[in-house]
Amino acid sequence: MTFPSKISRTKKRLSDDRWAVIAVAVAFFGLLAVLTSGLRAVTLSGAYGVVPAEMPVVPAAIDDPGFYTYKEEPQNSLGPTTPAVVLTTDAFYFGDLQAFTSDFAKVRDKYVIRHIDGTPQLTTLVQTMDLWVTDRARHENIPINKALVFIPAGDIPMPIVVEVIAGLRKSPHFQRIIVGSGLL
Amino acid sequence: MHDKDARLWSQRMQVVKERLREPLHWYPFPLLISFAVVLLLTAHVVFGTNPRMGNPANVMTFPSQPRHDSDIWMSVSPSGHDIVVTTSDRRVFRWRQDVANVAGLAPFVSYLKSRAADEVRAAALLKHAFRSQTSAVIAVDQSLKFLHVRPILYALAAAGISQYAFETQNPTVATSDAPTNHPH
Repeated sequence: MTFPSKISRTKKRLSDDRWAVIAVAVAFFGLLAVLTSGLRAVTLSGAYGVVPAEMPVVPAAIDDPGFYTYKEEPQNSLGPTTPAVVLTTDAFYFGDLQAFTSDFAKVRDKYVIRHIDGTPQLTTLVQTMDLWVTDRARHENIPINKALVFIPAGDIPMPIVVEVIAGLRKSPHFQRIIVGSGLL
Repeated sequence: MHDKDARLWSQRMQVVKERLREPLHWYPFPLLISFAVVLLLTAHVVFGTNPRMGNPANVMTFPSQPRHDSDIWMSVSPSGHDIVVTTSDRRVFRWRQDVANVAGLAPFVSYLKSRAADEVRAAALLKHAFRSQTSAVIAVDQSLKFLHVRPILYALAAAGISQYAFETQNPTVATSDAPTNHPH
């Protein structure tokens, strides 16, 4: 290969600007991706909060033979008289936990608050349960342990589940909401 | 032999001179390298700052208590017939919406166990534990129903995590309690 032909090939290679089109396209979309991410980061709200819930646990205290001899004690315990709320697409049902477990067939120990036009009556539920809990504490000597078992049906949308948990926690009588369900 | 080397050298020099004499309008690799570096930096800085970046979960807007401590954060969103869980450290878990056995959740349960163990180990080394360090925050997409979240609750229980919370976006409203410089 002669020297002039080499120069000619080099000129031809360098004059081929097909890379330029591809690079401009890659640069444009890359810049678009970076700017979109930046705008998303700037406009992303930092005002987030949480609605806490719990799941029941079985106490399994471990002996501490050390110097402090710390012994773990449960703060609350679930029992037959723990309030329970069942949320279906039709209504709220509430009563003792016993009423939804061992006494499920009985019909006189459960209370119902039906939805109106598909809207759950959360305020009515909380007010009614407040009265019910305080009344049975006064007359039947059932202690208020501030725990509640909440069992939503599977086809309830999550925003409603979260709102109900938050609404129940506003009551001074229900500070610990234990969400229960069949898990799978 | 010496003349041959000298001739080859002078030829190469001539080629380089000719090449450098030609204007170099475009060379794609510097731009590609810089683009990749910017992309990597963006990914590390922005995605590390806010775990919500790149997560499609659209949480509900609802006033709730802000969280201050660290926790195990995850977003849950639908993708076709699957449920996709994205964690704050960019791990992605996927299973079908109608998952009916625990085998599909095994990697997720294993991940939660390791995360909880890491948090406990970090607290032990730091000699300081946050209240919600081993609790989980679930950012659930608004379109999901409770039955889609039940496998996650099962995984939390299987991993020994009993405290969890649902994340909401607090509505941003203008307040008038900002400090002012008005004279009293």
